[in-house]
Amino acid sequence: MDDKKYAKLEVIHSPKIPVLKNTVFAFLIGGTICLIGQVISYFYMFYFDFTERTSSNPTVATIVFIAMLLTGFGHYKKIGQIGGAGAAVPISGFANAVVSAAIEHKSEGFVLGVGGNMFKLAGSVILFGVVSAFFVALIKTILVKVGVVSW
Amino acid sequence: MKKLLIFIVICSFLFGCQAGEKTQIMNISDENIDEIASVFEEDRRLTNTILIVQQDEVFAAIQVKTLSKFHKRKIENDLKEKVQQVFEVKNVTISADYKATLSSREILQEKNSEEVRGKVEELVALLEEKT
Repeated sequence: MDDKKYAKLEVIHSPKIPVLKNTVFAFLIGGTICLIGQVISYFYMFYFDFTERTSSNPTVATIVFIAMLLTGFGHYKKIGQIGGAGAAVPISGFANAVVSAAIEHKSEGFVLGVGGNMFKLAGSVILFGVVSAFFVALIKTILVKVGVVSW
Repeated sequence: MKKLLIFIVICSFLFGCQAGEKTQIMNISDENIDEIASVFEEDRRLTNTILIVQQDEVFAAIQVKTLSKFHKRKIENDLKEKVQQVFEVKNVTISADYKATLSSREILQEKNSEEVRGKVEELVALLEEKT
């Protein structure tokens, strides 16, 4: 059997991915996480001296904390199974990646186990996040200098 | 449970649709501020304005339409220029931050002008914080 024939057979026999269903669930779960974030943000603005700009920091910290608890108690994987990318893309997905890796490697010790493997999944997020932030800032600085946009 | 859910959804829609006054004004200066108020009332990008005018300071908390939220800073600067053209005062603060609207609503209830001055100063300092 040649490669092309095999590839055709594979396409025929593989179960179809429910793209539309996955997209709808990702939208709903991701949207719900963002809605919760918005509510937390308003909470900080209502009850504390935070503005729209400054409330984002404690909001992110709170979402990370909640995601950490949900991961520890084993609920976040259920959310991830339903929501897919909707549960992985927000900051709670990042918290889940860090905490689940830490829990998984706890048996290998705190230094080489938890410390060494904690950022195994989240490391690439940090790396590419920092690199993309650098390029976005660079492009914006150039556009501001040229006078196309303002800060 | 299902009835409760329907009730919550209907309430959220109704609260979302509530029509408030577009411009709320507090004037504790001796000046006529009709011209300043018209600057805000005529601006179609705004949905809600709370205007607090003191003898030497103008503070406005604005809410902009959803798609105009990408140009909040530009709108603030535009309005600041327009206000300074019609009312010769140095201290003009226009803020599209939601915290400004929240705190301004509380200031509107205040009767004492010294209290108003203090609270506006506090709010302006808070809005200028970067982190």
